[in-house]
Amino acid sequence: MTEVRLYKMVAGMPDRVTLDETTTITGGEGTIRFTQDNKYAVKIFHDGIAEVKRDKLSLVMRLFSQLSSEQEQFLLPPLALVDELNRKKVFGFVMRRVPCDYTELINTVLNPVVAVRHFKAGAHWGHLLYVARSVAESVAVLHGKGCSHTDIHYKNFMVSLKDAQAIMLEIDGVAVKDFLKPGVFGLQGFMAPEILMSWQPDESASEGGNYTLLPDKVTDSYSLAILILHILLLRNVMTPLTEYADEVEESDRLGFGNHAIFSEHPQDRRHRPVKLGHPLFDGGTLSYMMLTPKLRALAESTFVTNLFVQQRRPLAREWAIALAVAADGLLMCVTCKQCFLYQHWLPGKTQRTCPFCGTLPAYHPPVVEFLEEGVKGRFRSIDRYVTFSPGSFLFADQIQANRTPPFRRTKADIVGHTVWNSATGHLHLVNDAGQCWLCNGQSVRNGQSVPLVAGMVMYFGSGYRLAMVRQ
Amino acid sequence: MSFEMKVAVGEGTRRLPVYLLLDCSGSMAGNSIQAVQHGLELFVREMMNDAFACQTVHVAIITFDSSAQMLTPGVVPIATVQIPTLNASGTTSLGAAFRLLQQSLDTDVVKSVKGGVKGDYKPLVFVLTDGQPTDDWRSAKQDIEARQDRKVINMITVGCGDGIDEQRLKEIAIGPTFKMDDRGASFIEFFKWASQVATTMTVSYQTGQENQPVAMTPPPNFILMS
Repeated sequence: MTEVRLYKMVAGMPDRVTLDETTTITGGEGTIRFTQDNKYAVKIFHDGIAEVKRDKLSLVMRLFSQLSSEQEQFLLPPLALVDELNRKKVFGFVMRRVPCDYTELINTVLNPVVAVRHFKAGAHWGHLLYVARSVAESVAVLHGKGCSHTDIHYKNFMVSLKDAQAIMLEIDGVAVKDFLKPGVFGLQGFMAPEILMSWQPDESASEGGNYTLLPDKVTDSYSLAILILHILLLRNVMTPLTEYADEVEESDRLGFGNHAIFSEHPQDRRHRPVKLGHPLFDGGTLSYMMLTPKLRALAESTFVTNLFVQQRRPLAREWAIALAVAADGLLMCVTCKQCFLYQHWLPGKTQRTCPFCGTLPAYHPPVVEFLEEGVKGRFRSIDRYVTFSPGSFLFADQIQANRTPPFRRTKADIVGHTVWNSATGHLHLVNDAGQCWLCNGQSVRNGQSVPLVAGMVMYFGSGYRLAMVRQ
Repeated sequence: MSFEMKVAVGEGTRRLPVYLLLDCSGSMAGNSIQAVQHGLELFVREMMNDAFACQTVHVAIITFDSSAQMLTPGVVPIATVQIPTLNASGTTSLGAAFRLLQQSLDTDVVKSVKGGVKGDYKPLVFVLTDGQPTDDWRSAKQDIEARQDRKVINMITVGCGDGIDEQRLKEIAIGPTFKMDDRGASFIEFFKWASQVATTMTVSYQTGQENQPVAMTPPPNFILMS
């Protein structure tokens, strides 16, 4: 029986745990084992590393000691420090154990071939959208605490498509500017171009050179954007398609660095995939044009406009909100059973095809736009659109002012639901809320419904958003 | 009826060519060749289980006995490898295997050329042998060492069996050399370790450490010769 004695425990943690004898994962920094009750993972650092980590871990514990339950679901903060293992002095920390059915994110989104294995098992693209959101949320939490991760990529997140959630790893390696130095520079393909461009050859260095620029929150923002788009489009949108030097290493450093070009750059097509925009299930490559205008704007800001203007890169919180809002626009394709963002922003309905199988929806769903009251009682668009299908719900956060979608909605949040009315031939929204709605001058009480036809305006009461059916 | 999903890996991915040069001479008959067979199947399975390695690693299998044969049509995606039944007979034509390796390096490995299509990572080569080479292997080895193009900088040689000539093994090898016994389990460990090395290499290249010696921790019963 292996017993571990702890100290500096957070509230509710025991002062000792017993380890399972069967599983040990050995990495470069230390070993990870799990408690017998399966609740916790225990990381014990190798001897040479322990002293370096000791002060850092104490600070990291303090930084992440006040997370809300919504924030905590995305991270694995240290819950206690390890003092002894079977009465032998060691150093390490305890964290929540990731559920066994989670897998490395790379095993889910590396490329379409990998993703299709999960699609065939019942997952769909909507799950990936939620995973992308949880990745953005985790980085936003980190940045909110003044930390940077410095190693954001698809091997440092564990994910469950069933839960549609990702959990960030390696939080014990976070950096704080001028205080906690980063230990790594990142994974090529995800590293910001300015880091790659800071490479200085040095024959005395073990790797033949050094990066002189340290990663921070700004480079994190770049890595995050790469990862988000990789999750959504199943490819690295900055992959060079040509060689920039005769040596692979130098060529990749230039291709992702000095010569970094967005694969869908409006003017420069050097890195543009051949089958871009062609249906994925017909050998095509997903295009960022399948994303909402807001998500595309964030991508363009990161990879085109501000590629080398680091300070203007979109923040993690901006990505998290845009992804949260986008999820309300999902539509399931009846042909291939994939979910995609219904492209209500495209003027012609014939353009709104499924990016996976290329078919046109047999039924174009009503799309509701939400507006908020501004100055002098005028309502302005807040770029929130909801696509309704039979069996959809209207949620409280969609009609309440100044609210973004929570990560998980519950039944308690439902204020309406849709039903198909064969008499009118339209989708109807049923009022499940306590208060009466006013729709195009007509009162709609609890239990009554309103047809979602173009031009319908729904007023939910003072202080609430206004909803307009756009089509 | 489920929808057919015909997808492609995507453009711009570099390949890591992995060569397996396997001794199938007469002295490998019996348990040894069976263990090599099982080990090869394990190698392919391990590669397929790693998402990144599955995409990146492309394999060529060369067996050598009285002559040398390429069992795969060049360097092929790991997902398409079909392993035939291996037989052990004849002498040990390691030189022929080296020459076949040379030919494949020239024709199957894509060279990085500025302005051209994406080239391959530098190949990883494993050599597994249990005895003395019986052909002119020295000149073939020198030719490989002298390559300027598509260099072989990561070759791992493993000698198996108690009768292995350690001095000759060191002369054969280009790079790290190990000795192992000829128990079936050791052959399985060899292939499992080879898959781990290949997987580690794919990640190392991603962090821009292509030119660094691969950090390898061989199985406990492998003895490092050099």
